[in-house]
Order: sequence, then C-alpha cells, then structure tokens
Amino acid sequence: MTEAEKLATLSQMSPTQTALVIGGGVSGMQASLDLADQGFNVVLVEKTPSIGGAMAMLDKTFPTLDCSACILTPKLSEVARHPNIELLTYSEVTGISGQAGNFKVKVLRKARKVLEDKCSGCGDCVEHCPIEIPNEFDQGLGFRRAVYVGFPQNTPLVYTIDDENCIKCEMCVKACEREAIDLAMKDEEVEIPVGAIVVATGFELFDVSKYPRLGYGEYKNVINALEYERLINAAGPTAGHLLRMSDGKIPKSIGFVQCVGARDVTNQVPYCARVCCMYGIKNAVMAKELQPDNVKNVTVYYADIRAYGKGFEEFYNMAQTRFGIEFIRGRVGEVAENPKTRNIEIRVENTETGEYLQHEHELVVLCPGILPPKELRVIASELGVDVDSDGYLFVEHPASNPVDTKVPGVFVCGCAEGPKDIPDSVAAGSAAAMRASITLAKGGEV
Amino acid sequence: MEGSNSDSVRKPKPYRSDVPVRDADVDSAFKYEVADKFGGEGLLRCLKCGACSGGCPVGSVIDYRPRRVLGNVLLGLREQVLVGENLWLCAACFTCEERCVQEVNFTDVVTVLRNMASEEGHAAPGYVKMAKTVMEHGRVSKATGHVGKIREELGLPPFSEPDMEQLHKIIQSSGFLEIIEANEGRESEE
Repeated sequence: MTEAEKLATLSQMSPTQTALVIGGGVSGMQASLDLADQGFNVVLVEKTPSIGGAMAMLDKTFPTLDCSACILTPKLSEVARHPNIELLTYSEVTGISGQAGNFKVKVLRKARKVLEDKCSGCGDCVEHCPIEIPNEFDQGLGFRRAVYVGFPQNTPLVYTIDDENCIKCEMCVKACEREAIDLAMKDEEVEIPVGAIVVATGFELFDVSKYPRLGYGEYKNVINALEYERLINAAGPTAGHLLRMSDGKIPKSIGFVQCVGARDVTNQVPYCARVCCMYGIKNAVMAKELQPDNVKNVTVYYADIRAYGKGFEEFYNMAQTRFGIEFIRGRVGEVAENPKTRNIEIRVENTETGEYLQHEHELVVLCPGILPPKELRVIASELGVDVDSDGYLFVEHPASNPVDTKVPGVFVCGCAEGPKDIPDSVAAGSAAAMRASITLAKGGEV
Repeated sequence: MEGSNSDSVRKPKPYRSDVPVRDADVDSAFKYEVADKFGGEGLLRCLKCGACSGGCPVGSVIDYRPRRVLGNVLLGLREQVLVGENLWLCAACFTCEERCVQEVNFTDVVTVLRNMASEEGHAAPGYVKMAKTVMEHGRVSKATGHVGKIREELGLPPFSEPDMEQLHKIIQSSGFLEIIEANEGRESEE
C-alpha cells in the first residue's frame, strides 16, 4: 500500500470500530495489541521513527534482570505485523475534536523521506551518507548518519532521513536499489475518525544538569542513568563495554546518586518517581555482574530505598549480600573532580552514623526522576482533560477508575498518568484497552 | 560473588550523638514551638535526608551536622538543642538552604533556635560579648586608631560617631536588654 493509499484508508476508518493510541511505548503497544486482538482497528501514533519507547533503550529489567530487548522485541514485531494495527511512526497528533464514538483526530505525518512500502531496511544507504551526528537513541554517546534507524530493532524497519542534518547530496538516493528514498517528500496531515482514544505518551527524563552541584555536564565522569543503560547495553555505542567517558577505562569504583529530581520541591518535582530506587539498584548490580573482577566498589547513595513491588525487597537484599553493593543513606551534598585523575569525589553525610564522607569514585551515575513530557499538556488541552499539579493526567478516580479520564471515550495508561515501572505500565495498557473496547462495543454510548 | 566492601554492609555504626533518648528529655511540643516562629516554618518539612550536612563547610572540618540539629529539634530534645554549643557553630553561609530539597531553610531555623536559646540565657559567650560591645560603642567591634589612620590615608572622612541615644531607645524597646540580662556573666565563660 502506498502512502497515499494508506492515508485514504485512514480517513475512511469506521469510528465505532477504531481506536487511537497515542504513544508507542510498552504501555501503548500493549493497549494496541489488546484492542486489535479483540477485533477492533487500532491507529497507533508514535512521534519518533520507531515504537518501543524508553524500554527499548534499557539493558535489563528489575527485579528479575531479564533482558529488556528480549521481552520487548517480540511485542514490537507483533504490533508491526498485526493486521488490525495501523502503525503511524514519525507522526504527531495535532488536533482532536468530537466525542466518544466519533472523534476526529488530526495526525501529522512528518516527511520521513523514505517510502515505508518500499524500504526493506537493508541499510545500503547508510554507508554512503557523509553526515555523522550524535544518536539520540544512545543519549548522544554514539553516532548515527542523517539517514538512520535509532537501533537495530527499529520498528517498522524503515530508515528515516533527518531533514535538519541532511545536506541533500543524494548519495543515498543513488545507493538505494529499491528506489525507496524520496527527498522531495512533504509533511502530510490526515484526519482519522476514531471512537475511543488511549493516551500513552510516556515520560521525559529529569534534566540532571539542573543540579549544578552534582557536576553533570561539567565533569566528564558524571553521567545519567540512561546513558549508563546505553553503555552497558550490548547494542549500545560501546557494544556493552562499561567504560568511563574521560579515558575509556573500566571504572574500578562506581557511585550511584539517587533521588536526583525526585522528592524535590525546589525543582518542582515534589513526588517520588517510583522507578529510580529499583533501576539504581539494578544498575549497581549490573556493574558487578558485567565486570566482577574489575569493578571493586559499587556504592549507592540514597535518601530512602523504596522497594515497594513484588520481589523488589528481595532484590535489594540480594544486591547487598550476594553482590556486596554498599548502601549509604544520605542525599549527596556535592561532588568535585580530581583534576589529575578525573575521578569524582562525593561529599555526603552517612545519616545512619553521622559521619561526613568524602568518597572518591572513578564514575558517578546520577539517577534522575521522571517528568511528564512537555507535549502532554498540549494533547490534554486538545482532549479537554485536566492535568494535575505535577503535570500528569487526572483520572476519574485513582483507586477505582485508574485509567478513565473525565472525558468519555478517553483513557490513559503508562506514565502519562503518573510514574510507573514496566509491569505497571503494561497492566495499565491492558486495562485502558479493555475500557476503550467497552466504549467501542457500545458504539460510543457511555 | 563476594565484593570487597560487603563486610561493612548492614551493620550501621551507632549514632555518635547521645543515645538512648530518654522519655524525660523529650518535649514533644518543641518542634511546633519552633515551627510557629517566623523563620521556623520549614522545620516540619525536613526529611532528614542529609543533603544539608553533605554540603556543610563547617561539617567538613568538625563534627557538626545540620541534619542532627534538625533531627534533635524534631525529636523534641529541647535541652540538648538550646543548651549545647552545636547551635552556635553554624556559619550562616546558606549552603544548606541552597542544597535543601524541601525548603526547610535551615539558617532561618537556626536563627529562631538561637533567639530561643538567648532568651533562656544560653547564648554563646562570644555572641554576648559582641552584644555588649554594640551596647557600649554602637559597633560590633571597637573603632581603633589604626583604621582611622588608613581612612585618612585613603582620603576617606573619619568615622561618624553612632547616635547612642537612638540606639539605646531601640535596644530598650526591642527587648534586647532583657536578653542581655538573661545571659549576664556568660561572656566571661569563654
């Protein structure tokens, strides 16, 4: 199906049989699959070139240390191949009107400059592209070309040309045997009729440079947790080799700083981000797991460990007993760099003993909290849904109606409602799909 | 796999402050008394996370922890807080206020506590001495001939004498005298 045919089909969807899912992270994917498996049509809109969301960037999941990609990739393929799912990646929702059973959704198809029906994902174009820029998917640690896929499991496996950096040399056009590249492609807008909407816009990572005292951006060996995830990921820029930024050496001692941009009223994040304690512990464990002989000391500096979920407390205990990870209760006051060794000195009070500590680490990982994405406010106002004081969507009742918004036919799942870990996001995705399918089955009646 | 740093795990050393806390020493209303005063409002927001102590320049050289002062106030250890010298070690550099994620405003809380301590006759000797100097000379330190000389060399006008009459009126109406009386003799304890 060509792009024009696809857009024509989309504008002719039957609203009582179609749901829109905004966001292709693990929660939105789950919602799409569950709706599609019930026989409804699903239009899944994702703003980046690939579905998968943040989970695709992670190396392992807590508390089982399962490989993140191994869980996610089958779901990626399932979404891409499902006959009832129309996947609109590199697209954005720009307007919503109407009511339950008959919404009109405007979707902007950003010009990908590669024809989705022709590109086979062979990658012949890549080596001919002369432009190299930092890869957003690798948190800027690795490089990509102007014609790119963020990661090998990019779904759909279609290349994208980044208009901002492309110099129109047309080398890729010549290299592509399938004639899949069309540099003249323009953005297009399509209006799709749908009966129910699931908002799964996910989260944004807190910008740790808002804490100048923690040295991010100033000292090379202070990185954030998502950069660390990419460093230990086998598909990442270092092919899974844990090393530090200043000299490429394996760090012998690593410090994890918890609660950066969480429970902090001065930075407008008074809430607990729920996931940082556990991913912090997981990353600490992974350092020992990957480099048992080289990494001698791993210390986690925390304010309170909130190991609230199934198997979490056991995982926390195992990190101490089996992996010998040191836990020090105290919010880090400040860090300083040793200019000769580029090691990072952490200054902190051990609040359990009252000692003032100056610990030197070769690498320091800041574990940021999470924020609602900036675009969520725009989508919320289009939908007529309120956001709470933290910027997440309000639900009808957090205990008894956790995925219904106040607007009939509009549902929410994943981190759009509030910080969630992967299991909770998936559960919320399924729940939102079920609620949306009821709206559709009743033809929009509430 | 046993790490080299696993021995210290799970065995926190005991607090170096006085333990155990006895019921008789606890005044459970103390924290509200502090929080009700201007500047003390932030006290009840404290999570005791230790960010203040981690950045404290005084704490980096001596055994002084802002978090412990706050903790003792929250525990209700009235005597220990107001009588001890800990309260007077704060350099009022405001680093802790900068670091604090809960807007406790520790420096302001310390000011409240110092005022309370002074009213009860527990002001630090150095502070009493300074207060007396202000009462006598209108300045926190005596004007010396040396400073006068430097000013002359720089072409600056000589110090004007402070208006002691006005100053005494302020001192009398502000309750400053009562506080000095409560701390009578403390300045020589140093």
